[in-house]
This record gives sequence, structure tokens and C-alpha cells, in this order.
Amino acid sequence: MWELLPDRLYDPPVPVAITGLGIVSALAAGVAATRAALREGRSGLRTAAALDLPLAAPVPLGVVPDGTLPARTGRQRAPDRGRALLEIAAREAVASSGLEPRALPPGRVIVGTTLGGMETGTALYRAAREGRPVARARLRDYLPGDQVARAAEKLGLPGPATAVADACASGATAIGLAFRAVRTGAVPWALAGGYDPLCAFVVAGFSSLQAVSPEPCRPFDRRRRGLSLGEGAALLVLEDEAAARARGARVLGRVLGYGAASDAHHLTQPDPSGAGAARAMRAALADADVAPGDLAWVKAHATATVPNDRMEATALRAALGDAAGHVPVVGLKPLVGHTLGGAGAVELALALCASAEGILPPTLGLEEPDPACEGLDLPRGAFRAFHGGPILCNAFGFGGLDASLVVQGRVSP
Amino acid sequence: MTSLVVTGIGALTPLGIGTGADLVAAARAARRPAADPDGALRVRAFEPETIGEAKDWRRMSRSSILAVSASLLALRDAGAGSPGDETAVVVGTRYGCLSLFEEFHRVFREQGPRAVSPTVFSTGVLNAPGGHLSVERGIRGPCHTIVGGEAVGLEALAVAANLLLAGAARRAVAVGVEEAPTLLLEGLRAARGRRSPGEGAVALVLEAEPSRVNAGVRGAYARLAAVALGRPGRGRAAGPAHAILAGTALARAGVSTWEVALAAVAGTPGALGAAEAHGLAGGLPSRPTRLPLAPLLGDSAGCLSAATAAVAAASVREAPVGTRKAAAVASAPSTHGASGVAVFVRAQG
Repeated sequence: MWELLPDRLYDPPVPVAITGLGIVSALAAGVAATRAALREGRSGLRTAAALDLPLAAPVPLGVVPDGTLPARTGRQRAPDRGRALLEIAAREAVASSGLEPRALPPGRVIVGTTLGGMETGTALYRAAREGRPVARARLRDYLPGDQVARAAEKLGLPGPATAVADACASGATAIGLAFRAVRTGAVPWALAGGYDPLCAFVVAGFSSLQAVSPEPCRPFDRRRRGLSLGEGAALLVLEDEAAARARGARVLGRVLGYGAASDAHHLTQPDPSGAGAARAMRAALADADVAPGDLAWVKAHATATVPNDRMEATALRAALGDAAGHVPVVGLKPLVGHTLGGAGAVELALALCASAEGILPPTLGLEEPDPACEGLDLPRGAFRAFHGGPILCNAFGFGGLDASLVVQGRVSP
Repeated sequence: MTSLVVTGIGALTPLGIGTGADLVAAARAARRPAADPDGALRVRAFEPETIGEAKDWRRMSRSSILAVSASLLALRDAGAGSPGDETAVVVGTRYGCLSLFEEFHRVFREQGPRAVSPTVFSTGVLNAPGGHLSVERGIRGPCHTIVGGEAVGLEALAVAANLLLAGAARRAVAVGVEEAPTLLLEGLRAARGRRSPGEGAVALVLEAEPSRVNAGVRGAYARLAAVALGRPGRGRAAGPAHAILAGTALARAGVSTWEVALAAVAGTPGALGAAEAHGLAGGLPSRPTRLPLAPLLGDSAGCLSAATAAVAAASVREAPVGTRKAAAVASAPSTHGASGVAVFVRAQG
């Protein structure tokens, strides 16, 4: 029923295992289909989107495959797009963990999003402006905190449920806060991740910022033209590893460390010095007790906008030091688009899926690296083999928020 | 384990603008502020420039202005100079920057998608208040925005406390904020029954003790002894669930119900308030003085629930030295997500 501040901090902190994983994105719905899509090396971005979006011209978007989301049935309206994505990933994560919600002690559900039910919100605003009453029940489909609570209730998960809105770092923050709660002993398990839907609001907003690329995004490339928007959700079940193994759970990976910092520079523009992002990375590596040279690869935030890519390259050089040129740095947004509040979780889940497949994916679309990104190992073209090791996952957001996680896939039984 | 103390409080509410002492005095006076013609309780006579300098006041949403202002007051109250790398920010809100979202949608609908303003888009995001505060004051620690139910101000306090316990920061500003009702909430008013919408922001500065960052600062308001968050019960189970939450928080704090002098409670009209009253009667059988804040502040989830914590913490410092009854409880129930109860006791020294 409750979460408390821990009465003692585990010393040393307990290892935190990932025992459940759920993902839905433009690539596929479900872990198995996502792994297959990664093996094929294809992108989920497509120009012919079925959504009614306010675009001046068609652009590639990361829309989830047709038939993934529940459709309207009879007089019943289709569920909110954001909530539907969240619930698909949450159901898969809990099912794959083998946890039985009714038998669980209280834990924590904490999910990141920037938009929540903005699709429903737009409809509610329209109703309110036209003087029509707004049903309280529909408000629950709009507000992010209500959506997350509703998903937890539907799954029967005991304990508090909350949303985190840290812009495009939301998913990573949610996983980081949940990781800390498990590692310090505040809760025995957590369901954490992120989600965001594509909707008119976000497309118009990013278009107004002139940040949307007319072609598939190509992070770190000299000729990049901006980001590709996407949608999706990914949720992880986190547990004290000893307890998870004792119940016979399959350990899919581990969260090893988390770090967060703020640029304190500008609401939307990253600090060109990369100081905040570098502090977040250093904090995550120190938290994980992992040296930069021991990283297997870096899953970069890599939005494919010039200011963000250059800031991240600068921050990586600062945080990794002499190891910067030897650790592969990969951007995954060409696979699924920028899933905003979901990005930190969706791309971390993709990294875990790639690890399970034994592959290190390249950055799709990267052909000529931006000279400003020199000094980094930027894989392009073919897959590389992945033999295990820690992965640094970055996510940055409006407000100058920087979040980094260190995770490990391919864990030995 | 590390002790956590409340060293600063800043509040902009319909009761007025000030620090913890001002807020607890106004709450004790229990004079309901005058509502606006639309029934809302708003912050009055407020010019952000009088609180402090900020280069972006004019670009901020109402939520951001309120949250930044309350935080500046709290940091000043705490004697915090330059916050820097070791300070974190945790904002709790239920609705976020609704007025800017409505403006965005209005332009979108009336003038088309190409007419929308990038500034309105970027300053209307849910984490804009925290982002503005970080930028304005050079706060470079973690900055999180928690979006939850009616108790989200206490959730923000719990997240801030966990950041300090985990060593991610040495000082944290936890601020609960809501805007006055806007178009969408007007549409909901019929369903809100007897609730009066409200606006405001209440910020608490929490520090790890002993901490070099608060060395030399005058006495703290209180020590945060426990925060308990729990899934709200449904229907008849709501009261007993809140009773269990209150009892659990007291037990974790090591505080007997007979040591509690005051309970600052949300006191929301309707079923939620009834469940809270029922729960506290069970969880606090000593029946301490209760200060219901919703009649004074309106229905303002993040602000209201943070105010329960601020009033409870401020009341502890005012308790006569030597009295056994020196603890205070903050209570904020919720219809979903998480309800919260916090326990404050006298700080050492």
C-alpha cells in the first residue's frame, strides 16, 4: 500500500535486475518483434502516416504499425493514443517478469511522459471553448498522472503510481528514480519507463521550432536537417536481483547507475559547453562504478539537430576523456523517431534488445560525420558484434535536463 | 542515516505572500480569503519583480511565475546563497501550465498550425517551472517534475527527500504549484461540486543535516521524520487506507500520536475530505488540532498538498521549548495515484 523513505540505506546498495520488458514503437510491438526488426536492420520511419497531423508537407514519422492500437468499437470511442501505448508496454513488461500482481508487496510505478493524453486534451479544449461540459472521466484520459495511475490500477499493481514530466529526459528519469528506490530498499520492485504519442499538438509545436527534418533523421551527419518525430512506450520491471533470482525470475539485464544534472543555461537550447550533460554522465558512471574505458558502447540522445548533436559530442569527449575515441557512440532515433518523453526508455529498451541479439547497431543514415563530432567512434554501415558489457544511455530535454543511465544486457544466468 | 531538515519556506497563496511563519499564522487565523467573481481563490497583489530579479518573467506561464517566486522566497528564507551543483529542484503539479496550453490550442484552432508560437510551446511544457528556476538561479543539480493527483506536493517532497538520501544533492527545493482555473477547469466546474478552484505555489527547502551548505543558517523549521505515500483506497476503503498511511508514517518517524500537536490537512470538501477525516481519526486517535487548508487555499492539488507540509513544518518551530507535543503531521489524500502523510519533528540544535 505504501512507499516510505528507507529506514536504512542498503550499504552496499543491492544490485538491481531488469526482470521484465515491454516495448511498442514504430519498429514493432513487443520485444520479440522488436528484436527481429533490429536483426533486419530496418527503420520504422515512414512518410505515409495514417494520422491526421498538421504538416505542411509529408515528413518521415515514427508511427506505430497499423493495427497495433485498439480501434473504436461500436459507440465506444478508441482509447486515448498515449494511454493505449502505455498500457501495451506495461502489460508486456509485467507479464514477461512473471510477477503476480495480486501476490506482490507494495512497490512503485513511475512513468515518464511529456504529453500524456494530449490527443484527449485537444478534444477537451475544443469542447470547453464551444461551451460544452467537460466530463471528469475524460480528464483522467488527459492528465499524465491520471493515465499512469489508471494503468497501474488496471494491472492490479499495489503501491503509489506517478508520472514524471522531465521533457525528453522523462523516461530515463523515471527509470533512474525507480532504480534508486529499489537499490536503497525503499521498495522491493518497480515498474518504470516512458511513453508519448504522436499528436497534432506536438507536430505543430516542433514544426514551430523549425526542428522537424523533411527526410529521415541522421544524427551526427554533416548533412542532417533536424529530428524525426515518433511515438512509443517502453516499460521495465526492476527488482532487487537476489530476490528476483530467488523467485526464479529471468534476469534480462541490470541497471548499474544513474546520474542527473541541469544545464541552467536556456529553456530550449542546450548549453554548447556540454557541462551539464557531462556531469550527468560522470555521475552515472561513478554511481555504476564503471570506468569510461569499460563501456561497451554509448546509446546517445542524438536528436539530429545541430545544437544537440554538437553539445552531446562535446560532453562525451569531456566525460569519457581518453576513452572517447574507443567507445562506439550510436544514435537510435533513425529507427523509431524521437519519442520525446518515451525516448529515454524506448531507446534503452532497444539497446537491451540489441544486446540480447548480440549486435551493436550502427546509426542509420550516418554517412559523413559532422567534423564537430570528431574524436568519437561513430559506427555506420554494418552491425558490429556485441559481446556484453555496460552501456551508457543518455537522454536530454527542454529545461536543460540531462539524464544518464548505465545498464547491462546479456547477463549471465 | 542522514537527517533531513526544512530550512526555508516560501508561499504565494490566496492567504498572502511570505515565509513559513506567515503561512502558519494565516492558516491558524482561518480567515477565508475573498473569492473572485468566478469563485476562484487567487494570489492577490502580486508583482513577481518584487520577489526577485528574473530575466524571463514576461515569458513565463502563470505556473512558472508562481513556482519560481515561491522558490526564491524559500531559498532566501533558508539563507541559501548561490545554489549551484549541489541543489536539486522537484516540482509537483497536477495540471501544469494549462493557460499556455489553452493559448496554444486557441491559436492552432483559429489561425492554423503555422501560426502557433514556439515560445508558447516551449514555455508551456509541464517541466517549464523547474526549468525556469534552474536557469534563473543557476541551479545545476537534478531538476524533476512530478505529475500526480491531489497529493502531488507531498510526492514532490518525498522525491526531494530521496534525492538527498541517495546523495544526489545536498539541498533540494520541493515546490507544489497550480494555476488558477482556466478554460478547461471552467468546463469541469459543474463536476467539482462544492470545491473552489484555487491557485498558488508553496516551496520548501530541504537540506541534508549535518550539511556544510546550511552551516551557519539560523535554526531550521523542522526535521522531516517520515513521508509515506500510498495508493488511495476506493469507496469505503478510502478512510481506513488513509488511517493506515498515517499510522505507518508515525511509526516510521518513531512518533506517538500523543506527541502530535497539529495536523495540517487538505480538508477538501466532499468524499475525499470525508475519507481523510475518517482516516485521521483512526490514524491519530489523540485528535490533535486540525488545520484544514482547502477552505483557505481552494482546490489546488500541488499547492494545497505542499502547503500542508509547509504549515506542519513551520508549526513545529513555533512549539514551546520543552513541550512533549512538538510534532506535526501533514496529510493530503488523493483520488488516485498516491495519497501522502508526512511527519515533522523538532530539528536538533
